[in-house]
Amino acid sequence: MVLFYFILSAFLFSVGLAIVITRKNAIFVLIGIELMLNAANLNFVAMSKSITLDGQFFALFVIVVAAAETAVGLAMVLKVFNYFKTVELDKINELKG
Amino acid sequence: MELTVTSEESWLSIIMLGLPLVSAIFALLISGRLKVIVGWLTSALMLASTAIAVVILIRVWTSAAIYNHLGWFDFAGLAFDIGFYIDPPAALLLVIVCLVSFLVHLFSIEYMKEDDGFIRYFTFLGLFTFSMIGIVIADNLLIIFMFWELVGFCSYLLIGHWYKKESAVKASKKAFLVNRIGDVGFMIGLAICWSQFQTFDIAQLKTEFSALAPMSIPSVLLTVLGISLFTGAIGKSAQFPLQVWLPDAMEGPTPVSALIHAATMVAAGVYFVFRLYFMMSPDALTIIAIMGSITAFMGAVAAMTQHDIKKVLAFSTISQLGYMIMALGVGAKNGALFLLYTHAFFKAGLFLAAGAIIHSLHKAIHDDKYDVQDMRTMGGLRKTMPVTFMAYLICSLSLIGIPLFSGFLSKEIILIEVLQAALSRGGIYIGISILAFLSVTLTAYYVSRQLLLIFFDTYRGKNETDIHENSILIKTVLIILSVLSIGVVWSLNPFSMESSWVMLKLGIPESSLPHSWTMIMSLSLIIIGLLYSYSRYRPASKHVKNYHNSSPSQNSLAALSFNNWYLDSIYNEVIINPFLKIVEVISKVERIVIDRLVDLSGIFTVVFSNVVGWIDRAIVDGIVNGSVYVVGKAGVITKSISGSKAQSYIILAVIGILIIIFLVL
Amino acid sequence: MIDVLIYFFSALAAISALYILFTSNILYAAFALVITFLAIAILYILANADFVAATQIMIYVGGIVVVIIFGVMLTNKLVNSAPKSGSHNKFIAFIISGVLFTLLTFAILDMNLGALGVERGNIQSLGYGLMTNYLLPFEMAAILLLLALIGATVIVSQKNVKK
Repeated sequence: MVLFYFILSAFLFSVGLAIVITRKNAIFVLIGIELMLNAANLNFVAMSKSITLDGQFFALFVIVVAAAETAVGLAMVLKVFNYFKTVELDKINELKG
Repeated sequence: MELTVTSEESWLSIIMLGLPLVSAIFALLISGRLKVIVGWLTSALMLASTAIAVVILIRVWTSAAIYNHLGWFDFAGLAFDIGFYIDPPAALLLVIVCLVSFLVHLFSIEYMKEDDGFIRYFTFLGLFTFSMIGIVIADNLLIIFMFWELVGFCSYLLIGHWYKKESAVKASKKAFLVNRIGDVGFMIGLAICWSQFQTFDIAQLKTEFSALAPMSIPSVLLTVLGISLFTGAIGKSAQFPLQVWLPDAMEGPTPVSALIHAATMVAAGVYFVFRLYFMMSPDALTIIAIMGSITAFMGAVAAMTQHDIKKVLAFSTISQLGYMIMALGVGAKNGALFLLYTHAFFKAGLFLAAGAIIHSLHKAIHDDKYDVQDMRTMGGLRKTMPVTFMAYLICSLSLIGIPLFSGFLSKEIILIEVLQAALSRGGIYIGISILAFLSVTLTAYYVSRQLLLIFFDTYRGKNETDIHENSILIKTVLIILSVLSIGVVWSLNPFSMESSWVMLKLGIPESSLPHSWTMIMSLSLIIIGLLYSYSRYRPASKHVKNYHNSSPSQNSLAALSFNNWYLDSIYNEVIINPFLKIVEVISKVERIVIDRLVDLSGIFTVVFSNVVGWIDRAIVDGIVNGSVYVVGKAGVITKSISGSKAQSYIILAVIGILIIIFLVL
Repeated sequence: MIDVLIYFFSALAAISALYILFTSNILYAAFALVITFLAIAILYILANADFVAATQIMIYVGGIVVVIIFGVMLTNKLVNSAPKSGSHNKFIAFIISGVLFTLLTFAILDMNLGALGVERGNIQSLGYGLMTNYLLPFEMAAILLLLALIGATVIVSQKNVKK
């Protein structure tokens, strides 16, 4: 079963990556990142079936970091929205030199 | 006793417990315009609850007790259960609680008709009944404690129902705080119980106690345990040091007083001691008996000189509760419970009749300054309110303990056992029995005095022609309660408690004394009390004529009685004032010493932060600005190299990672 | 029985993740995200990680998704039309994700999983660990959360600096 967890985790990670790469909306990108973090978590939890509970601790810390990441990320998205009046990444060309 | 788990009865119990809560929620949800509906709806729900309680009573009476529980939560390997246990005494008390609550609901529809807080009132009534039922059926000390607190909270809300009246707010606060003192004792008891037995389950505690080796737990600890749990009952049932809240609780609406005094709040304490009777060590029982007899006597004395119609009843409740507690102390636990049952009906009847008098006087005299509860301005109401008079008379005779009425039956049992304890054990029990028998005379005195003042002689107030009997609703309620106070209802032979169906189930105390002794003794004492009050308060006597203007402190004894033994003033002087002094001193210390320190540290902080600020500006900011400058430059340099969109960077990064993975594999 | 549950909820998580990838409506995506998170939480429970599952539900479903939906609300005019959003780089993304998934699967199948035993973790040992071995990371996480809170507030609350 652990194997299955790992494969599911790999799948979710790939889907999350695809979302991050393809979607134009910044909020979608955030969603993709959440998905990737969750995939990593799934690994940790599956691992923690071993002798120690280390995996679960890491999963907890990842969840905390994810919460912080979302808060800051969304704040930035809102800032970007204030500034450019859009969150579509392809319309934001400011990073272009 | 055999324990069975039958799901149907469990469901019945849960529904019965839930209905008052549903009624409270209904009352809360329905908007203000439909307030008459609220009254009838909640009454109907209470009637349904009563009906279920009767069904449960019949089931429990004929077969085994209902006992059901399930796991609630585990904590560190210890399991907490939640469940209920209904044996015959509990079932009968349930019927009484529901029935009295139902009658109070009915009565309140009329009594509170013009009150602004009508909805709020019915909500709290439902909640109050719910929590009382919870106390009666819970099988676990922790659950009992929760419902116990809920009862205290509801009584606080209901006593302070007229929250714009300052005295009501004070009274509710007082009731709440005094009850907290008792609850501290309860909590200490819980802690001791947990530390010794690791369980709160009453059935389990019972087996542990019966299997207890004599020396495994020091007997002092058991006594302390019993007394701390009893302290909770002292607070709730208004026993000796803590009875001061009950007279003040008269500030609440009269039906609430009826509910508090008859079936819910004060009954909780007595029932609690009854239920935990097996936990009380002999020493604890002696203390309980002493407390009870003192309370019975003090309450009876205080009731002798009150002017307020409700205050007399309040002190008489204290006195009767003292009787119950005393009976528990001397071992007549079934007698105590029987008095609790009969008392519930006649005291509810008395309070509701008093409420009816107040209500009709209030309607007749539209004057907020006029005190309609003062017995000095009543008199002669026998003719204008005959039904109320009859109800009051029957309930009063029951309270005195006249044969043919319910009070007689229950008091006989208690007096026999008290006398027997005095004869067999001697010592302090002789004093207890003397106080008990003295209280019988005093009870006869103050009750007949009240009857004479309210209903006989001529009317001494104003607007006599406007006083009318109340509506059919109130009359019905009063008639039901007075019928339930007649002896035949409780025993086929109203002269002998041994043929009472309640006592046959609970168990009749074995007694070597002939019953005629105590009957003759108590009857002669009652007659002395009656004769004395008649000689003082008979119609058209000189004393009654002067009574209208009398001030309470004619002599020191009367003043002692009127002021309830000056307990309030003593508490004020001994506890509250010193405490206020200490608080004042502390506040001075705080102002002078601590504020000074805070100021100094504040000044120091300001100076320090100025220095830090300079360092921050000059050095730290310099570094930060420098690094920002460097990073910005680097960004400008790098961003011009690569592509256009943010996501392209990610793609490139991932491709890089993929290459690394390839290489590693 | 447990195996069936694991397959079922894995499938649920995978399908809703794919739905996020292909839908154009951000709000639907957010709700699909809820389903994914809940399915993963159940998978945690099936892996004997009750506390992590509870945390997952509380923080992800109760906190993060709500915040994301707030973000959607604040950045879109939802009066008449659903919040749509397109996608680009589809081809490259497909290739990269596919390659990544294949590589990871190979790596996973290559692992020696026999060393992993099964143990029931309970909340007590988790709490004990957090207060002993993991005390420093625990405190750091608290500080991180505080910083994120302050940071997010600062970022959003600055007045518009557009020149």
